[in-house]
Amino acid sequence: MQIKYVILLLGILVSTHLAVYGMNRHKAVNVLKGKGLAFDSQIHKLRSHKIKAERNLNQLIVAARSLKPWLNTGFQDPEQGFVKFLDFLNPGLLKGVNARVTLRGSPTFQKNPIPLQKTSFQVVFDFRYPNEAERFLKELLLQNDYPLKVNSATVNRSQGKNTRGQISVDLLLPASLLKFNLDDLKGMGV
Amino acid sequence: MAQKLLSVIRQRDSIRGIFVEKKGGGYFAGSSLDLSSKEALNSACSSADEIYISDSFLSAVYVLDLFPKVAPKHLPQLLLQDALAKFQASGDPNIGFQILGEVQTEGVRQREIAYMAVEEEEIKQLWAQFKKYEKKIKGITSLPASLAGTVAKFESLESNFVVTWIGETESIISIASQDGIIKVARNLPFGLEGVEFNDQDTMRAFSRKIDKELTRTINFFKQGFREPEPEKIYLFGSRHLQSIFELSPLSIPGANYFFQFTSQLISNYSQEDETENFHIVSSLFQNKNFNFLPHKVIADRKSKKLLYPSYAVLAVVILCLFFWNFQLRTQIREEDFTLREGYPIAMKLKGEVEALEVKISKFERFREWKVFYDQTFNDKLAWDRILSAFGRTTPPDIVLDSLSINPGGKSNWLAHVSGKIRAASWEIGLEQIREYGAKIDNLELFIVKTVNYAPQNLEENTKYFNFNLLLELNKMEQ
Repeated sequence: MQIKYVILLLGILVSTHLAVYGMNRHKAVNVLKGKGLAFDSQIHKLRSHKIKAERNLNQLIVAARSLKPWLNTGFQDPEQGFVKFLDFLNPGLLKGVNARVTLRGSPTFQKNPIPLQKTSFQVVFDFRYPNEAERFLKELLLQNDYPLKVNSATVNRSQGKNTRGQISVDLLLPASLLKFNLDDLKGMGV
Repeated sequence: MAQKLLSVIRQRDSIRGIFVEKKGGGYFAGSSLDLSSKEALNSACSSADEIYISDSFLSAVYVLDLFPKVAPKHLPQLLLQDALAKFQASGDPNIGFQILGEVQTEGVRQREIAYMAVEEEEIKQLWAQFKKYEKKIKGITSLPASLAGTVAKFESLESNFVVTWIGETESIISIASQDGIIKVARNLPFGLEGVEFNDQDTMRAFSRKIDKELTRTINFFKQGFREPEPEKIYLFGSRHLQSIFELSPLSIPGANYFFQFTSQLISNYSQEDETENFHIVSSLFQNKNFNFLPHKVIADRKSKKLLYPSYAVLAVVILCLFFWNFQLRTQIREEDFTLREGYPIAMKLKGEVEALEVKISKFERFREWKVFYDQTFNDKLAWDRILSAFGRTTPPDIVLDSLSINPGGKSNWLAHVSGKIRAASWEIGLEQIREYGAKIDNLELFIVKTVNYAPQNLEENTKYFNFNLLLELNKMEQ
């Protein structure tokens, strides 16, 4: 074969090789670009996660801070708490408004918001003047020893001069304890 | 530096050549060289840059005729068939042709074509002598064709002309068109050999001989082509020709005789030199259409013509591909660098997010406990002030029948209040309920949402009108 055709053939081979090599590199560039985009997206996602997590953590820290007054309260065994609450409902508290407390159903356990024992009560009381009722309600509902959740309250004018009040409350006694104290919170940077 | 062109003429076994250089628009030639010996030919060809050859080609046939219009690829075959019919020699002819134009005859379009056919064997013989220098050889043609072509190129012609070259042992008479296309050509086997230029008898005898041949040739031309006799007759070959034909003039009617070119052909030649060497230098000006280079050489040159652009294209392609690859390499590096640069950022962010999530998992329990404490201890209504607030703001003419407090849908508390207004008319009652509502709304504990006033028992003297209030209760501030 003449040298000129050999040169031509070599040229074609070299150009083919360069073209194939170039196409492979082009593919590699595209793959790298794709990876780069995915990587950028991942970084963006992580940044967004970080912002969300920071916000979430801040909310939780605020929640934790708001719990400081209650951390040392502590709750004993729900059964003991229930008995204590019954002690709390002593005649001295109830007598002034002729209050009657009725247990509604038996205690139940519920999971949310925390595992707790729920006991429902119906409190009926009579009063002539608002300050009598308010004194009673303050002592019953605005104390910080027994976790009560008010479901409803009604006040109806009855025959005669008395007025009758009726409150439906749940005593929510935690089944587990929040094992944290102020030192723990300090350790967590709160 | 000007190229050295070697113009060669071969007549039987004799080869003569002249080196010509083209400088500043003019041709400068050396003296005539005898290249008949192998050594002399090799020496001359080796030092030349380009070689142009004319040969007597005694077998050559010149045809100018009309041919059917066929596709270009079939034309050589058509002409070969025509040449074979006219060719006297035994071997296949080589053909060079030129299409002169198209003619419409009796409604049929035909092509006017001039072709020249030369016996293959003659070309082979010539080529055997010059093959060694095939790269330098630019053209091979017949002597009549190069003579006529040169005259047509340098002289101002308006019609057919005759060019006659008279050598020592042979002569050529050819009649050509104004473009230099041979119509008739004859090789005469005699020349000036034997003519004594101081003997008028031999000169007259030679003149008569040439006159006779010229007359025959012109008559043949007139019969063959039905055209008038040419007016211009050029006579070259020897500086003595003019004196011979002045002593014994030629008898062609109406003809003008020229023994030299109107303008100088070779710048450094005298008129005598030009006349004597005209046939040698005429090889340079041959018509390219009648080039009898071997087919293989022409094919090789054509392939080279294609090959070199192919090389160029390939080189450009390779160069472009090389730069493309280089560019891609840079791109890959950049992308890789970006990825490597981003990697620690991503890792750092990942670590930070993980650390935050660990913290969040520790704090997560506070969320549930917060809900619990909000429900039980935190979000409390001012139970110790609600009733007294109503007591303070409720006028004697308004009696409250019931108060019902229930959680609203949006973690708020709603109070439904129902009662009666004692008033003289429902309009007065309406005014009273308005005032009462405004008073309640001014208290920090309540926001009045709706008021429903429904007058009843309008015919009684003392009238009681029912009303309902819907209040939103504000929570106690801790």
